[in-house]
Amino acid sequence: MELQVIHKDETYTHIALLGKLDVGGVGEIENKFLGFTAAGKKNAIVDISGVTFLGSMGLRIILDAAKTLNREKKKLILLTPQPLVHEVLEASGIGEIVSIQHDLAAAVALAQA
Amino acid sequence: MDTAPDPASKRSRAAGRRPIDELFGAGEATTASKRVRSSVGRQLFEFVLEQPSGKQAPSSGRLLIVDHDQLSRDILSRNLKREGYAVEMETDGTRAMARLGEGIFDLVLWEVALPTLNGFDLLTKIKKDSALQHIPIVLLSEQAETENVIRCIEAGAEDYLSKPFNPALLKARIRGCMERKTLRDQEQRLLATIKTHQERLTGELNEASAYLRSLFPAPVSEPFSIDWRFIPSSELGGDSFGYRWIDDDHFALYLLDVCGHGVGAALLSVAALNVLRSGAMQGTDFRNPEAVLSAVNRAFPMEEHNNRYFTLWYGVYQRSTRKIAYGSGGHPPALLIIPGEAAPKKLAAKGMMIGGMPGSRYVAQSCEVPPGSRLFLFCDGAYELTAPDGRTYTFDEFADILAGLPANIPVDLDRLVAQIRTLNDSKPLDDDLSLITIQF
Repeated sequence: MELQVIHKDETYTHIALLGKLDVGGVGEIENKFLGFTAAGKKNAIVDISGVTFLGSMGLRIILDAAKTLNREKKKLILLTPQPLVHEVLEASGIGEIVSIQHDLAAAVALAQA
Repeated sequence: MDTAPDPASKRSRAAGRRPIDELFGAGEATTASKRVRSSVGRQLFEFVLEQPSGKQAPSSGRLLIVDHDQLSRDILSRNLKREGYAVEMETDGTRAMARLGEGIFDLVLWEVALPTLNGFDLLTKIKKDSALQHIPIVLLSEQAETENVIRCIEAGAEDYLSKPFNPALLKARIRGCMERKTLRDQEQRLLATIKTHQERLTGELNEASAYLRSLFPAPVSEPFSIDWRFIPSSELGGDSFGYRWIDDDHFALYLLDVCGHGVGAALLSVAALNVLRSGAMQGTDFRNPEAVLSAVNRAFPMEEHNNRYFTLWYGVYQRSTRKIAYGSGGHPPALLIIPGEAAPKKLAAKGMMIGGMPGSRYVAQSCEVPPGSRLFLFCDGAYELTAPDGRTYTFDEFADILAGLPANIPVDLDRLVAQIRTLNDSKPLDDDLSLITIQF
């Protein structure tokens, strides 16, 4: 599992995840992920187009980050999930507190709003 | 001819010891004793007898010296006793073997060429005996026995000492052997402790697993047949499920899947399951999936449950109307296969994972269940499997497998589980697998 920082300014952070977000993958990036999202206290775009699998522990860290940002009135935006990952996100109901976007411009506009 | 005693003999007598000449009986002229009769040998042995024990702390441990040469035995014994060891001696190999069985010796010094049992044969014997194989053996050898010594070292001897003994070397080697023995003993005690703890933990996990399984209801055959399989990925799974009649007309069916697996997941799973199976949520109508999901979501906020959430599918079949009402807290859809319909019906409903967010809304759905319908309820572990080419199977692929099962005979769940294992390339499952089927 890999985490790349794409962009960072005062308004928002844009990171990308690559690999399988299963128990092992979560273990590799959890602290870093929460550091760039939950701890940042600003909007966060997470490009998950490179995530090939999203398991329950992966959902947990996304939920963790989204809830923390929500308390700060900030947003977590998931960008371009693959169809299978999108199916998992839909089934989980996590769309209630995260925004799922398929277009970078729309995601950035949301993050800058 | 009388000969005046030499200075070394005088020192020995002054120290309360017999001089070398007295240690050698007339008939005891062994190879070793012949050698020490030379002036160099005599000096060396006197040196050994007079060596101070040094400033190191006294050693402890019980040693057995097995040597048919009396002089060697005496020299070793004195030196080692001076070092603080308890020393016992034997001259016969068979008797010495019997003594080893007492289990009281920390180290054995064995003459490599002992006539009654040589070093190599001894090592071959004790390495086969689990009660003796841990005892370190130090071989006592003549200089000429190098090849024998090598053979014995290869067979598992701890070390060797050449005669005549160099006191410093003797002391260092025995001390080294004893230290290694102490470390090995500590390691063995630690391993035994770990094993004991491991066995206790395994026993407790098995007991917990048996308890979890005891909460699952037995298969049912009337008025419809229900069967299930549960295969946890570790000793304790995070999945649990149940079904029960709420009243004469309403039958509840549910499956929950706590994120992660292991003890933490199982504890939460059991807590939530007990609430659902006992109907212990005051003021909640268990015939109403929305009400149940909302109440469980209120009861199990993840912040108060080790930051774990769970998914839950909860359905209520009403016998009088042949309808099933269902709701989901982030759980994959159940699958209803209706006779005569080409595609299976996904019983999906929107709703957040349980415990994920306070105040989440759950919207129930419902559908008719015609006679002969077959319902499958399962967790994501049933299809989130890795194919040999590395890709992950999809829900729809698994749905196709279920839809393709013969409709005219009962579902063979064991065969289905075997098929799931094959999909997973016959590797151990990464996630718990729970699968319930109802034949209406």
